[in-house]
Amino acid sequence: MKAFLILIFLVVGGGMLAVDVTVHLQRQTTSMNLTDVVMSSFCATEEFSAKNALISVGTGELLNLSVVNHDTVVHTLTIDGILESGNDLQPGETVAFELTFNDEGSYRFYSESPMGGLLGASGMILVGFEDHPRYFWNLFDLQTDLTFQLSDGLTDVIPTDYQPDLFFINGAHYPNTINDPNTYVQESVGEQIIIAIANGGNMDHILHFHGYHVEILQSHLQGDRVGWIKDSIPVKAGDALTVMLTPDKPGEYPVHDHNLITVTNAGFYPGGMITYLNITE
Amino acid sequence: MSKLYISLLLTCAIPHLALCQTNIYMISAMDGELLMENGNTTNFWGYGWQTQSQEIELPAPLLHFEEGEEVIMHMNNISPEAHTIHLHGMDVNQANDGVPQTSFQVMQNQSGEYSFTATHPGTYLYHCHVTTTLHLTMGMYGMIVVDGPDNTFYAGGPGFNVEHEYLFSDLMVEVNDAPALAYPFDDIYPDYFMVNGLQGTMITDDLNQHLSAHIGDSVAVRLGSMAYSLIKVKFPEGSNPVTYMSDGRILPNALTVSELEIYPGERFTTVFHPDASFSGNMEVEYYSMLTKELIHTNLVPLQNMGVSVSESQWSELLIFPNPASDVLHIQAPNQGNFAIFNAQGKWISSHRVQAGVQTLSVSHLSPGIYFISNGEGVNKTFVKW
Repeated sequence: MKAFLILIFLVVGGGMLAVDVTVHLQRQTTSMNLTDVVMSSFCATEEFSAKNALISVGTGELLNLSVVNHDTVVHTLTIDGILESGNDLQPGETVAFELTFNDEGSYRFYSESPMGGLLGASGMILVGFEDHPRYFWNLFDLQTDLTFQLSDGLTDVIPTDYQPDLFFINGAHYPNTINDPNTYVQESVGEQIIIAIANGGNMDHILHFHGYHVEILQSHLQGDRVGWIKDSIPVKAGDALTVMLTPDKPGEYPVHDHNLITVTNAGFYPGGMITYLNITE
Repeated sequence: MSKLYISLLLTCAIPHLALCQTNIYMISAMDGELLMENGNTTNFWGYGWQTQSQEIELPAPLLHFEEGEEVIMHMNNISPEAHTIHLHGMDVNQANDGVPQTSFQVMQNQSGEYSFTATHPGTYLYHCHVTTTLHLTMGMYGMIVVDGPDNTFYAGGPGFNVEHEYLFSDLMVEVNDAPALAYPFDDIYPDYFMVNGLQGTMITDDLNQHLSAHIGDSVAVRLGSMAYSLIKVKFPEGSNPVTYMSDGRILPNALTVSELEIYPGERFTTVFHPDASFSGNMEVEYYSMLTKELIHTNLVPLQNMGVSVSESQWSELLIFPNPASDVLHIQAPNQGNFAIFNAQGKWISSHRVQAGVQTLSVSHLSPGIYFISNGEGVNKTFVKW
């Protein structure tokens, strides 16, 4: 009976229940905002998507995570606080990891290869909160021409004159963000909504909630802010944090990065890191 | 920062009761000219009071409301483009949120109204939400303070007898010089860094920006950022800062850190408890959000903090003319602090006074009786007419 309770939800792909999760690490040129960029992603299926896999697992439950490296270069898998660096993923190799998370909260799994994390290969795991509506906001930023340099091996670092021009939530930029059920929040007044937020990008972001304050429940890099109730939440590069939103009124409100260069697509407003909350009575 | 919130048109006889409705009348315009530290000027867009002069300010006028106060903000847009007012952090309903896509925008030469209740005491911001990336760097932002009861941050919370507000922001001069050429917006790199609209020596030369208090005072410092940069505020040793609130909410545990990181849109409310006489500066550092590189530092003087003005010295302070209409001259024997309260005892503003004669604008005050207090029970009265 207990085995039936050990459920792992692979969120991407329609909420299919699964004990085992397989993700597919891929790197390819893709079109974003009518511009070609190179992105890497831990895709939920063998079909490439800039949206990394989003995984839910219960506290203390076993996650059998298989990673298929479809790339031609070596990648790694790291989960801060759970799986330290040094876990190589050879080209074409499938590596299985048995993972147990004892603490509720949000985690990033990512490749430390320059052709991985710096190109967007950073997925999310949300542990616990099974009784709540759950959403994922996986943030990423990139500089279009730099992605080709990284992918071609011409550089392996983010330069000091980094000039990002595309900004993503779950691999999409506004207005496409509102077509993603993990990004666009549709709930009712009084619900205790859990939002897992991660920043796999190369700069800090600051999410501003219109209409509501949220409580910070957990953060890897800002543990001193747990318990704070805020409308503007810094999400530092590399952080994964969890907030709870309990809407007290209906309405449709934006949530966006308040570093306002990031609410653009290639410089044109509005775009980038904007999503919406749609709260009904 | 000018404290012009008294230019409110109150629609009830007893303005401080929670059920009263306050109407304030503002303009939005795009014809501001900002004098910069190097003596050059650049353009800014902004808000101002609806007066005959129709002047806008950078930052926009500081707005004070009381907890529970019902407010209608009337905005007359006299500019050639649409604008809105987003009440950042006030958690207003959708209709009054100031986002064009979900609320409304005020077209050129039209007026709009924003209705809300100031439900939570704390520090907030307001800004235009039309093409936000451009309209903010052009200067369309200001600070809102929702006062708790009896000079406390919130009911049962810490009290204070001196208050200062500091709104941090920045701009890219090239953009403000030629906003029509501002695209692309991901290419905005600030190169002018402000505290209450002033940079560098403009801050140190403006006595109203100085932060000062007596030993034993509780000095409220309200900090907010509308910058494109990451702000780090470093409090000087001896100021004994305690941060109680952020984003209009009480922190579960007060912070006693001497340095605060303030990201764009964040606010903090801190209290200094100086226990010794000292001088120093509150350092305001501006870091690139992209590279974390330190770009600029502004200094806010805390001159002679902790030095008290004795009652005998205070008795030599002269204010004239009395009644006053536009300006009040203050002749002081030495430097010190004072606050202005209205006839209901509500704190209006705090000031630093230097030895000699200086001028304080009172044109924004509503007609009535006001008290100047040094916080030690010594008051002087003047009439605004």
